[in-house]
Formats: sequence, structure tokens, C-alpha cells
Amino acid sequence: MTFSELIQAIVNGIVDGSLWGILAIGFGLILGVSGRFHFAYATTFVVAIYVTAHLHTGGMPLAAAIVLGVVAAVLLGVLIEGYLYRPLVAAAGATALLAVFVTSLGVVVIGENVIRLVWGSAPLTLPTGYMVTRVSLGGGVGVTTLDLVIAGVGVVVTAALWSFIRHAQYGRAIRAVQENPDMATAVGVQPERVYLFVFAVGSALSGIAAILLTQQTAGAPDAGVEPTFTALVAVFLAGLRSSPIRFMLAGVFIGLLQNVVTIWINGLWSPVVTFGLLFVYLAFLPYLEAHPLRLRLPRSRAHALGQT
Amino acid sequence: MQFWIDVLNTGLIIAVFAVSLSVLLGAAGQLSIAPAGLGGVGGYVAGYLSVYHHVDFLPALIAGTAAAGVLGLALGFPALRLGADYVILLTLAFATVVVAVFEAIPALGGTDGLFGLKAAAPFGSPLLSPSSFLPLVAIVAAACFAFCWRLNSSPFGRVLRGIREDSDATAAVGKNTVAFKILTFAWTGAVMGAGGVMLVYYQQIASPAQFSFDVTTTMVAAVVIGGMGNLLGAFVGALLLEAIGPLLEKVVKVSPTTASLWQAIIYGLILVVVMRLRPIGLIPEGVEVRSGSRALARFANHRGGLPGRAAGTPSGSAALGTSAVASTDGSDHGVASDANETDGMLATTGTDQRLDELATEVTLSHTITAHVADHPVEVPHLAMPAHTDGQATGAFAVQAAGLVKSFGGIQAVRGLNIALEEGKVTALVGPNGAGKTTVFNLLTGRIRPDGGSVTLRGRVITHLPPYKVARLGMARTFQDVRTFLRMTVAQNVMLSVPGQSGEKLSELFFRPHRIGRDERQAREGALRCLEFVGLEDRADQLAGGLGFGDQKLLAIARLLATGADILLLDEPASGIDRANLEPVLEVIERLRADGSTICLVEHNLDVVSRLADHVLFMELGRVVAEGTMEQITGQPELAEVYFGSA
Repeated sequence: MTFSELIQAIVNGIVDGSLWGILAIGFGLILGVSGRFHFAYATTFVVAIYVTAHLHTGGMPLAAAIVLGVVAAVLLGVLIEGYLYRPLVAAAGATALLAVFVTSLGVVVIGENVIRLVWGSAPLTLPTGYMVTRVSLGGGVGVTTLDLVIAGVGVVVTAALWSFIRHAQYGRAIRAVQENPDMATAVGVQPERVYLFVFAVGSALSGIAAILLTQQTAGAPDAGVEPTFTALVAVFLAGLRSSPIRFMLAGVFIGLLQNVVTIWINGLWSPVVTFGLLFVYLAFLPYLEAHPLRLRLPRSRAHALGQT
Repeated sequence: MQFWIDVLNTGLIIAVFAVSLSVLLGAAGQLSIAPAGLGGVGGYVAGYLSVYHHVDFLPALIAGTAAAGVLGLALGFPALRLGADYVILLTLAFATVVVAVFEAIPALGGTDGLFGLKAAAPFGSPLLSPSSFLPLVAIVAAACFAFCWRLNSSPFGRVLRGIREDSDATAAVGKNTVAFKILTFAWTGAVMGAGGVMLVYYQQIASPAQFSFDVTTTMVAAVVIGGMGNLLGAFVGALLLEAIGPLLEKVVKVSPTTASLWQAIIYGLILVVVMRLRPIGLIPEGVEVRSGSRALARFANHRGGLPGRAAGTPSGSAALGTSAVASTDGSDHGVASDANETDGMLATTGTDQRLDELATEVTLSHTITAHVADHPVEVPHLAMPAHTDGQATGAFAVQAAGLVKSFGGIQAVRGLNIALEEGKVTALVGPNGAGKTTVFNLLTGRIRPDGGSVTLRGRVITHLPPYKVARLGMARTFQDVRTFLRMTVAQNVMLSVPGQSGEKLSELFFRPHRIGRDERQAREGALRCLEFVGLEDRADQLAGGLGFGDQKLLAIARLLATGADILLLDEPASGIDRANLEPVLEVIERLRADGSTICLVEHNLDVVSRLADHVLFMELGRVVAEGTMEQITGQPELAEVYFGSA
């Protein structure tokens, strides 16, 4: 491994990490605010790319197809929350977490196989709509224009959501629900509407990241699962109720780790390292919560002891 | 024919996974979704041994099963202390890591998988066709099913369901919930490993695709169809699911590829629809293991609205479902005026009172004889070894000295001294937030004090976990009763019976006679406890159908069944209306008459003055006054603290 290889890996890591970061922001928003373990995030992801590809091959301009692809993801996410999760949580009571997870598992399986039936299982590519050229950064290190777009979208998404949640009136409502849904209800915020809103925003982000990732590599009916897993890792490393900046940083951290591992050992070990990291982190989480480190990355969730 | 036998073989192997997952997910309530990962461990270990070391089937099966069991155990440790959403994630990460590791190691065949296994030949000749393999799969599946069934329907399984319903409450009646969870993770992991070994031998390859996430989905779907915790359901569910694709292929005449896609879509639809209709799975768990039909009848009875209680039992007209949860405000106000009328005498206000001073004080004010725990009365005490030791300390059953506990920056308990006199009723009163429940949590080991010590009949128990404290004879109820709602009334109580042989796996599998005998004794003991509180005629109803007042009685019965004779009752009278209050108070009075040592936390001062021999008034984490009820209520300052200034 030469020095320029390492630098290249770091640059690639930041680009990949931007995608994980966008996905983590969306997933973290949904999980942190609504508490739904929305594994079907993988489904809104693939729906966005297949709808975009379908419309574009049908003759629609790429930009319009992308917008409609993201809209399709948003609609699906909102429908899942409104028609599946919400009544489920109301009915399941104490077992709601498992019920939501199992339902979302079902949605993922249905989505993947319906896509296979309709569009086949072959890999899918998406054009970018502009010339992808390589921009040299000197010393043999370079990025593509697509990489720059990805990193740029990552920065814009992070900044936009951060300032929205921090400053906008509705952003404050979201934070109120995140902290305490019952109290939020008491001050006139409707948690159900906030949940729909975070599902809409989160699904849009899954669609945006999906399209960028597909432009960079390729898509497939099950292409959403691994990115969703990776987003999960980022969300839990950052801490469930973190700010968008923290989610993005966790995503970039994972991207860096994967790329460095890839040139250091080989690409096959990169998922082992990513999920191994999560596994080790979770395994030591109880210990970390009992003995907090000062430089600890996550923000621990308040574990309310049942004492009055 | 071979086609359908192949389907049956695969179905049986998936059923092995589904059944063990049903125990873990349904009975124990642990949201683990690592079955495919653990199966992969078993399968790859066996495959590796077979390919590289030419190990025979049987040793490979044992090695794979053991390896998965050990990893299941390792997975159980972190899972213990994590919240449910973290456990899903932990097991998901585990399953992903396992498959990724297999793909990354060249010796294991990478993404292609590991080929060239020596065919299984346990009966002499190698088993190469589906039909020749069927007997082997059938034997292993039957063994795994029998193992899980025994685990699930035994006292061991009852403790698992208690943990699922409420882990803290299960620990509070003396069960080592940590050990139960870990053992369950390990043994179900081993069964999953055996399933993996069978899959690898049957398909003659160990590949990542066999243990992918999709496979996990199939297993979860089988458990969901069968009903969480219903093993027979999971078994049949797995067979049905595996048959969907082949049926489509042969009956509807679609291509195998399309059939497998539709099969997956149907899995997904089943998951979504079943969760929507019945979040605990399609088929109910089965209220009672002993007889299915009776259980169903009872289930129907329960759903159709339960009849009123038979005459002659304490809480006569307790209307179920509508059991009024009366606000305690009314009675509190009544007592407030009482407090103002009584002109009593101040006993002690020393806030920094030392324990020894307190001890002298109390001994002087009540002339007592040391109470010996062997009460020959109708309190249904079961054999309880703890009673025999530490009896010689004299007047106090429990003494706590200098207890300190803070949560974050808030000092909930600051230098608390408390002593519970043998055979007496001590009441803790004080305004909300005084730290009364925290005292119970500290005494029973549910939370650890930052400083100070707790002594139970001469034995220091400060750092013992709740289940050990309960075994030593001190058990508590909870403010929010914590009934195991999805278990019958009798099972709720039977769970508490200490020292059941059926909770030990070695006894469970090697000494079945003893289990049967113990189980009858446990039920008899439980029924005696239920009789004591007047719930014996509802023993076989679901506890979730009881009114709140009856649930309070059930909580006391549960406490009695532990054999404990130091009973900490957290607000036994709160939340129940006057009609249902009387039976609860009568039970406590009878317990006192029988010589139990009782400590109450209670807001209803009528109740306190009727029951308590000695009252401790707490404020801001300390005992600020103590004495008889008259002495306490006679102090205008205390009334002001309690009820706000007049």
C-alpha cells in the first residue's frame, strides 16, 4: 500500500461515506423520532431506482424521472407508516417492536420479489445525465465528477436537515416528539403527523442515496438491503437521537473504514469489519453505559429505571 | 416422488430452525434473529471437518451443534443487558458477520461455498438420494423437536415466559433470569447449529446463500404462522411454507424461478397480514400445556367475558374488565382531616439518627419477643432452606444502615436507616418522591446503593441480586402489580415456587419422574397460596382477565409461593376501589397474624393506620419521623409536608 493509495482510499471513503451518511440521516430520523424499526427502508430504496429507470427508459427526461422516483419512495414510505405500522403499533401494544420489524421484513421480501417478477433480476444501471470525468487531485489521487456530486449532495442534505430541525418551527415539533411524544401531544403537536413527516423525509433520502449509488455502481432488486444495514450501523454508532451532522460523520467514518480495510486486506473483509464493529460496539454497550468514556461517540439513550 | 420427498426433507430442516426460534422469540421473548447465522456456524464447522479432515457425519454433527451452542451462549451475554431494539440489531449484525466471514475466507470456498463433503452414512451406506436421507432428517428433526418441546413445556419454559412477560418481576420471585436467558440462547443456538449441519449434509455444500438473510425470513415466517411460542405451529408452519413453491410449480405449472419468487412474495404477505391481524402469531400459544381442549374452552370462556366470582370468596362482586380504578384522593382527604383532629405526640424527628439509637428506641417502645419463622400456620410456606439460617439475630428481620443512592445529580435516598421488626407491619409513608419505592429497590437488590448496607437476619445482602434476596426470604410486590398477563393465574404462582427440579436442564432431561412429582407439588403449593388470597377458583383462567384488585391479590399469592416471610408490599391498596380493598387488607392482616414480617409503602392513611404497627415518615430520601400512626398524624408539620400547607 503506497501513500497515494492510502490517500485515494480516504477520498473514496469520504465519497462512499457521504452515501452512508445520507442513508443514516434518513433512517435515524425515522427510528429516532417514530421508534419504528423500519427495515423496509431497503424497499423505498429500490423502488426509487426501479421507478426512475422505468420512467427514463420509457422516454421521460432523466431529471423528471429522478424526481418521480424519489416521490415514489416517499409515497411508499408514507403508506407503510400510515397503513401498516400505525395500526400495528396500536394493536400490538407491548410486542410492537417485534411486530413492526417482522412486518417490515415482510415488506422487504414482497418488494424485492415483485420487482424481480416485473423487471427481472438483471443488474440495473442509471445514467448520470452529465459526463463523468476524472478530476485529478495531484499525486495520482483523483475523484470523478459523480463523486463530487455525491459528496456535495451529502453536504447539502446534512446542512439542510440540520438547520431545519434546529431552526424551523416544524423542526422543533420533531424534536419535541423525539424527546417525549406524550409531552408533545400535551403542547399541541400531533405525533402521528410528525411520524408521517419523518417517513416522508427519510424515504426521500433513501431514494436520493439509492439513485446516486446506482449511478456509481449498479442496482438490483435486493440492492437496498446492504446499504440499509450499513445505515443501521451508522445510526447506532452515532446514537439513536443524534443530529444529522453526527449521523453524517458516523457514515463517513464507516466509509473510511471500509475503504481502508479494502486496500489493507481485501474487499471481502469490509462487511466483516463494518458489522464486526457494530457487533463489538453493541456487545460492549452495556459496559460503556455503566462506565461512560469521555470521548464516547454515541449519545446514550435515557434508560429510565422504573422508579418513582 | 423424489421431488416431494426433497421438499419434505428441506421442510423438516427448516422446521428445526423454526422450532428453536419459536422458543427463543415466542416463549422467552428474546428478539433474536440470528438463526441462519448460527445454522451457518454449525453447517460450516461440519462442512470444514468433513472436507478437510474427512470426519464422519456423527462427529461432525456433534461438533457443529456444539460450536453453534457456544456461539449462541456468547451471543446471549451482550444480549442480556441490551434493549430489545439493540438485540434485533446485535443478532442481525452477528448473522451478517458470520456469512461475511465465510465469504471472505478462501479455505471455506468464498462466495461459491464449500464442496466435496463426504456423504452422511450413519446407517452404513452413504445417503445420496432424498428418500434415503429422509429417515436421518426425520430422526434429527424429531430429536430437536422433542428437546425444544420439553424445554418449552416444562417449569423451565414457564420461567422463560415469565421473563418474556416481565423480567424484573420474574427476578423478584427468586429466579436467576440471567442464567435462564443465557442457557436459552445457548441451547436454542445448538439446535440451530444442528439444523445447519443437516442442511449442509443434505445439499452437499456449505454456501453463504444457504444461510442468507432470506433464509432467516423464512424461519421468522414459520414462527409467525405457527404462533410465537407454539412449537407445533412453527413445525407445521415451516413444512407448509416450504411446500408453497413446489405446489405452485406442480399445480399451477409455473417455472421453478417464478414459483420461488411467488413463494417469497407469499412469505412476505403472510408476515404482514398475520402481524396485522394477530401480532403474537396466528395460533395462540396454548394457555395450558396439559390439555389443549380444556385450554381452548377456557380461552373461549375468557374471550366471552368471565362470569362473576363464586360466592364465598372475598371480593364478591368484583366485576371484571370494568374493575373501577378509584382515585385514592378521596380517602386521602378523609385522612387529612383525621390527621388534623388527632393530637398526638412526636416520637422522633432526628434526621441523622443512627441505627443503634433507632434500634433501642424501637425495642423500648414495643416489647417484642423475637419471632421465629417456623410458623405452623396455614400460610402455605413451601420448603424454604433460607428460613433455617440466620434466625438468631433477634428482633429485626431486616436492617438497613446509611443507605445512599443518587440518580444523576438527584439524591433519591440520603443516609437512610430502616429496620423491619420480626413479625410486625412497618409502613413507609411520605409525599411523592420521598424515595419510598427506591427503598424497596435498594432493599431487594434491584438497584445498588452508592453507600450503606442492608442486613437480612444477620447476613449482609447489600450487593446481592434480587433473585438471591428473594431466595433468602425477602420478596416484594410492585406498585404496578406486574402480573404475567399471558399466563394462567396458577402459572403465575407456580412460577414463584422455589427449588423446582424442572427448572434445571439436567434434571429435566434425565429425571422425568422427579419433574412430574415436583410439578404436582408446585401446583398444590400454588393452589394453597391462591386459596389463602381467595383466588383458588380462578386458578386456570388467564391472569390478564383478572380485575386490578384481584391482580393485587395474585401478586401477594405470588409472593407467598416464594416461601419468603419478609414481604415488601408496594402500595397494595392503591388503584382499587373500596369494594375490592377489603379482601386485600384482610389478606395482609392474616399474614401479620401468621407472623410474617411486612413492610408497606402506602398512601392511603386509613390503610396504614389499620395495618401498621410502626410507621416511618419519609421525606426527601430520609426517615424524618417514626412511631405509631397516632404519633405521626399528630404532627402538624408532617401533615403539611404530606398534604401541602393548609
